[in-house]
Amino acid sequence: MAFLDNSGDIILDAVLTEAGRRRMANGNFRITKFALGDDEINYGLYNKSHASGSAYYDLEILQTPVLQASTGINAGINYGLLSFANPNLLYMPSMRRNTKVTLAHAPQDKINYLAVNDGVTADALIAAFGGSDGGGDRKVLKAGSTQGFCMILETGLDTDEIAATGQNKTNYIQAYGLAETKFDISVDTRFFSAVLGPAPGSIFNNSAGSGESTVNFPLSPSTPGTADPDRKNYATAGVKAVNNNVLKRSSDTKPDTATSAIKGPRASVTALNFSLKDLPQAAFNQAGKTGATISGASGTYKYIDTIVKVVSSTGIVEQLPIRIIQKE
Amino acid sequence: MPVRNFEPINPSTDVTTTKTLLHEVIPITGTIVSGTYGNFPNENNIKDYTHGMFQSVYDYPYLSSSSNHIFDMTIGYSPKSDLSASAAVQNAKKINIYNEFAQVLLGFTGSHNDIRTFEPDLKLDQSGSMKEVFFISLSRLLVKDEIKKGSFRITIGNDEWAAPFAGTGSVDLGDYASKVDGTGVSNADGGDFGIIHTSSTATAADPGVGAIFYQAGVIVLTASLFTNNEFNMAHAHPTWHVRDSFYSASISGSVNSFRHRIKNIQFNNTTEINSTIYFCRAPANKFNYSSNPTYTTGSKIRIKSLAQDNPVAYVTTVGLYSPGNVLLATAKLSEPLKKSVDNELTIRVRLDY
Repeated sequence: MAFLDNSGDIILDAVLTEAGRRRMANGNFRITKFALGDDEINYGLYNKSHASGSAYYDLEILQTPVLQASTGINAGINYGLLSFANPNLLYMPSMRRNTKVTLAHAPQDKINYLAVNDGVTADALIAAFGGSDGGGDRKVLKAGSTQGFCMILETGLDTDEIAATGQNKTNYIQAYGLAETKFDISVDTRFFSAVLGPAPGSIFNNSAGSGESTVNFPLSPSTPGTADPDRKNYATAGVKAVNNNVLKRSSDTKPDTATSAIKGPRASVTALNFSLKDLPQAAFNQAGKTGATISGASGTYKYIDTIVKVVSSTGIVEQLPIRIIQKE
Repeated sequence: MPVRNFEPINPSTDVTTTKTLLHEVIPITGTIVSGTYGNFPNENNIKDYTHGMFQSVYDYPYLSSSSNHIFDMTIGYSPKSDLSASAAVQNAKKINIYNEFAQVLLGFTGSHNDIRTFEPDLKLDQSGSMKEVFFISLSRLLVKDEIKKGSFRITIGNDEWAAPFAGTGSVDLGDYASKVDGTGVSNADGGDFGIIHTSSTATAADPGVGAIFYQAGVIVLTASLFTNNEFNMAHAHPTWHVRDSFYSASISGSVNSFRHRIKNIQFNNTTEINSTIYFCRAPANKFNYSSNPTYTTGSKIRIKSLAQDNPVAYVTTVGLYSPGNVLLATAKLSEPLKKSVDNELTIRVRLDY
């Protein structure tokens, strides 16, 4: 995939994707809508303090060379331009991983371990990662478990320029429609059978008095049924967005940031775990590794590294690396 | 899945179809036909077959994977030709070749479905027929959809063997009377055809020396074009006139002599491109924000200092989607385009078929 010639007039390099060609062959090729993307752009190059003035702020961005179009399944727009009715947005929600609350799963050496539910793997890893008393239990997700530790993802304005008060939540989140209604979780269906998301009764706040948190995420399964058009073998399951009601109050003795990973007004939160398919040895041979050792753990392990993609209804994308692991 | 915002494409106002004819100039120098890739007549880019019915010309030694087949050459005569005789070398094959081209390009006539003979005019009345002919059958790689009418030129040499292009021996032929608008062109089973003339001032009514079939990419030249007694030097004493060659030489032998007398060939090909143009209209109030992870820092939009600043995004890609949000086509701009609330963009995406 080379760069497009940008020395002259603006040209457009258009190609049919694999899906487009297949539909052309099947006779059901019909285009009804379009979207715009900016995957090549690094907005960090926008220089608001350029010495030559505002006409030069985006000079580097406008000089970004653009890659040729490709035809693959993920040839499209990874993020995409958004349309918000309000032109005065200064902040947009971010997604942050919460490892602060007791229930939150935490990575071990930046790896999110998801243990096959075989009765031995999780226990071995927990022991290796410090034991239950040493926090080892929160570093291992148990596949299929609807209670206990889960991955917690929060959205909101992660800035300390706006206090996370209830009023600011109303003004900056709810008034602009920036609270999530749901999260789409895209998983590799060769390995995952269900995504476990918040069930009714899920709660996430710091209203227990003095800023103490109330966090509970019973999980219920959701089957990935909608094929992800951007990624081969992936399908999407929708999970619930729970109101993130962690607020900053001057009367609280426990700071709100001790509960939440978001510094400013919070929007939503979700919790995740996963159910796995019965993975044969061939799956590990083909897509992963076998005979691996884990520091501090006895025996050998086989594992598969995969990515879970989380997309909020407001367009925030987060990719979670997951290591599916089983003791041999 | 990640794309959040779509804009509809209205099929009645935002989609249009066009047809464009694209022409390329195809020059074939005579040295490719004879002499560039080895010694005549055994050049490495000339492929002979054991059946001996035609020769293939490549643009590079044909054993190389980078070579392209550019055209075939052969000869033939009608069973009505006075050369047709069982004693003639490859008599049946020469007749079969002629008939094959004639029935495909001209079809049949009369109550007995007789195969037509080639004619030096557009009349198809079986008068003045060309019974002994050379065929040049151009590859689709060169012709594409058709040869552009009026663009075909070939220069042949009609002087003695050693210097066929000397003096008045060099003869320029072309479909001078044919026009793109259909003037000077008729139609038969093989598609549109015109007449090859020796004079650039010839009209369609003037009899010519050959015919050209534009869609089929076949050129038919009468053997009587060559009048020099040294047409074929394979038989040196006495030398063979073209009729001697047609009778006594093999097909490849006559084709070799013909190759020796080609100075150059040039024509324009035609590619018909049918396009659908989608006008992707991004109104002022849409696509002004981005979900690109670099768009914010600490949740704050990088390109803004104040909330009142215009939101800006930079477009590099247009995705065209099905009703079910399946990406069917993707288009890349050669440079980023600025999108803000103070401008609208109409991006014209053309898909060619």
